[in-house]
Amino acid sequence: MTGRSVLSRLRAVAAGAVLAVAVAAGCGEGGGDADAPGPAAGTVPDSARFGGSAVVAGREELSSMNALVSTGSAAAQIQRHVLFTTLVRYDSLLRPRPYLARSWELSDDSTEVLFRLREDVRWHDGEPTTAEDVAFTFRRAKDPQVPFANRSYFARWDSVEVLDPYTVRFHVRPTYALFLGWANTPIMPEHVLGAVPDTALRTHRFGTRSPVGNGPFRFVEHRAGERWVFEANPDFPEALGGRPYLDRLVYRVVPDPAARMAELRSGGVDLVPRISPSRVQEVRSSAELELVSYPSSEYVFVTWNQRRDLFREPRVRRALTMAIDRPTLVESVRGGFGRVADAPMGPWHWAFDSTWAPLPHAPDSARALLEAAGWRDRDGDGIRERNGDAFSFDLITAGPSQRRDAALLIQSDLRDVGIEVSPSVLEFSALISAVTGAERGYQAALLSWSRDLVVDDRDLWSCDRPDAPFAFAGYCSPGVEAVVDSLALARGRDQRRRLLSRYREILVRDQPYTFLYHVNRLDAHRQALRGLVLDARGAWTSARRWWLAPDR
Amino acid sequence: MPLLLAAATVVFFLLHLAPGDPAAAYLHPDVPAEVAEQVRRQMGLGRPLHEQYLSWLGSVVTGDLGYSFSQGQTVARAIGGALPNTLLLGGAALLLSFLAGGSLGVFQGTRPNTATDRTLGTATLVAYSVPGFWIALLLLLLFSAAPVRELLPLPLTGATSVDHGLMDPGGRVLDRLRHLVLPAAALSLAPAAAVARHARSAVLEARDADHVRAARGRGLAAWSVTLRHVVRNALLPLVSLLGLYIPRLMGGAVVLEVIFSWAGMGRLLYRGVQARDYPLVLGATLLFAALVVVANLLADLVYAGADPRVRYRSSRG
Repeated sequence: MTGRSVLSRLRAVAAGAVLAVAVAAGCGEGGGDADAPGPAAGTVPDSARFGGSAVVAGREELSSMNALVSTGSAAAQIQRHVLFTTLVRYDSLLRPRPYLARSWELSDDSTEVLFRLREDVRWHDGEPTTAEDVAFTFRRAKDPQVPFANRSYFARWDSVEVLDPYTVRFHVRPTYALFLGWANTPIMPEHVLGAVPDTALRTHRFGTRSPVGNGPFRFVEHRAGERWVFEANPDFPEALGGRPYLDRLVYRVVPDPAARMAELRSGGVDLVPRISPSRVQEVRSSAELELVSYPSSEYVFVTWNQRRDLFREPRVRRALTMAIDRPTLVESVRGGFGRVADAPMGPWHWAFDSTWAPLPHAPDSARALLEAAGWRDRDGDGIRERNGDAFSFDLITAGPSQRRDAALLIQSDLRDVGIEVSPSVLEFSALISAVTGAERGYQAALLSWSRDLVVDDRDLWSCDRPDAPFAFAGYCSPGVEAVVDSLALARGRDQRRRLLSRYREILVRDQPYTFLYHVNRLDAHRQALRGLVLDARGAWTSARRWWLAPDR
Repeated sequence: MPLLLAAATVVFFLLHLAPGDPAAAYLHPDVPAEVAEQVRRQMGLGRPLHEQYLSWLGSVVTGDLGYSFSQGQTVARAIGGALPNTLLLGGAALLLSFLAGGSLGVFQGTRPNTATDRTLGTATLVAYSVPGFWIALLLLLLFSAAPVRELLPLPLTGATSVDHGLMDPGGRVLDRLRHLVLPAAALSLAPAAAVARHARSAVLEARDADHVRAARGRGLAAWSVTLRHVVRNALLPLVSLLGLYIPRLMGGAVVLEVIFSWAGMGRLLYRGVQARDYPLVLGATLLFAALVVVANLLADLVYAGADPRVRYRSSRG
């Protein structure tokens, strides 16, 4: 059950398959480009692909197009792949590739990075994109007065020098995933935002009313709460793919999931990213629709608050994990679109090893571990006690009904080994406050992480900064500290693979979280929309190459 | 005015009583603590509650509703963008429910206790009992099905088409109307059924009034009696319904605007609550309260204007 390949359920997805092959062969090199054409490539000549509008429907309004102040993943995706450019971008094997930067050099001692920019990328108002824009974006992202959400990207980037209009040099401290920040943070226009004070950045009209980009699509219109409209940028450099096929690209805000599906069926919408597993049947039963499933970097887990006696011992946490029937949980909650997890590295990650075996569902071993730890049912009520305290706790969660279902399954599984769980569903911001707030009032929480495409968990397990907001598990282990710290400095995938493997071993042994499953994301689109590359990088990666089949 | 103040005060303290932190809701998930703190300061949180309340009240009195973080614009501007959509949808639904419901009620009232009347009576009772969101989902399902789409292609969600900006003025009006059909239908179904039931009984009552019998006795045509004496009298109780239904339409609009992605006040309020966007929720609630007050006032005025007893007395004197 556990090892069953969810990939085999796919109808067709080029990039997903590339990832799977790379993982199976354990190789990190060769093949797979972000621009690899979709499944139907070759049957329609390039010239016949131009024209038309594609509409993507999402749940939430985009907070802002200003990358320095925006939040939310859909906004970030559109900034990176539609309206702006980034210095580098990831290919399908998650290696950095040139984009706005045509090349880079890392000094031998890893303390200087030099980027040479393309000279043919212009802002949509005609100004050239230069090194000044890069320096501006970097300085503002580092500025403590600017609420840039991903400050950690540049924690080890110290300063910047503009050498000439198309060359910048950064002074850095050694770190792995050096380019993560530059793959995720689009360059912002200095000539538009340079004079805007820090405190006014968030409310400046650039964000929602008049963004000026330099990417493959230009901003046309934003109707608050309704839609964002972009049009093809005819001047986008040929070397970066040139003018996109589509004339117009529209993001529509459709908050209700049933309404999104109705729009997709009726042709009012062409792509709905992130549908719920409960809608799979609906998509499959339509000849006009296509379902795509691919491993994402999101994983769902239970965090045990180890500041509390209940969860302090690793063997008790191991017992909790083994008492939970995770394969069944993936089947019933995700309809099988997921995979039992035991570490952050899922099938999307290059270091993932399909032979990794998570702890099994073993209620008897769980009971034995609990007995050994002194947890016994002394009064015959079916609940274990120790020193007069019952093994009983609240499991809090929020969000989609899948979370609630998972919490109920966990309640029933743990009841079988003599542990009483009271699940409760909170309002989302209340859950976040309970878990990340300074009081750490929670006992156990069912959450999910969608982290960057690089595993850097220094903020999760922290001995020296137990109050850091995401160190909510309260887990401190010198072994893990050493591994995640050396991981942060490691160079080369071989060394990192060894470290990640060691990291996983410690996580399996200590169970600071009970990792439940890696999420296989589900996107649904109309068959007429072609050229989609859907993988862990997100739905918008190949927006430049989307096209509409002419028989539409 | 005191009513508005009371509404605003209750909502203000209810909002702050609810668990959850607006900055956390806004910034989730990966913002460093120091940034969150800074945003919290920018949002004016962290001060004692009564101070926040007084300063908010002070700015409202001067016409400043504050800045909405979830919308990236001032509350006044967000409301300015959403209000016309809600007035359009609410107005259309109101018109539809009174026209359709009223005509149905008159139709039933003029043939009471026939099989047609009884069937329609059951139908309106069912329509009145069905929740609006369910009707909305049903309509979406129906109008996204291929056969229906070919017969009657209607846009399912949104207030305008994606290419609305490229249309000529006539096309834009048509586009707006086409987008209005499904949400207005869903929103007006239950009120229309209620109006029909009220209209029916009002017509029945008016039919038996002395002056109607007298008119009939003078040999006036049946349709003329119905129209001039029955319906006109029956309209009165319906006008008082108007004041009752405007607030109900607004309540229903919150849910239906979300389902139909209708960028109106209801959606704005919903998103404000989700994002813990206090200034936005307060501003929107204040406006809703004001609309209800105004609507009731209007209904009273219309009622006074339409009351024939006023004319009856003056003609006598």
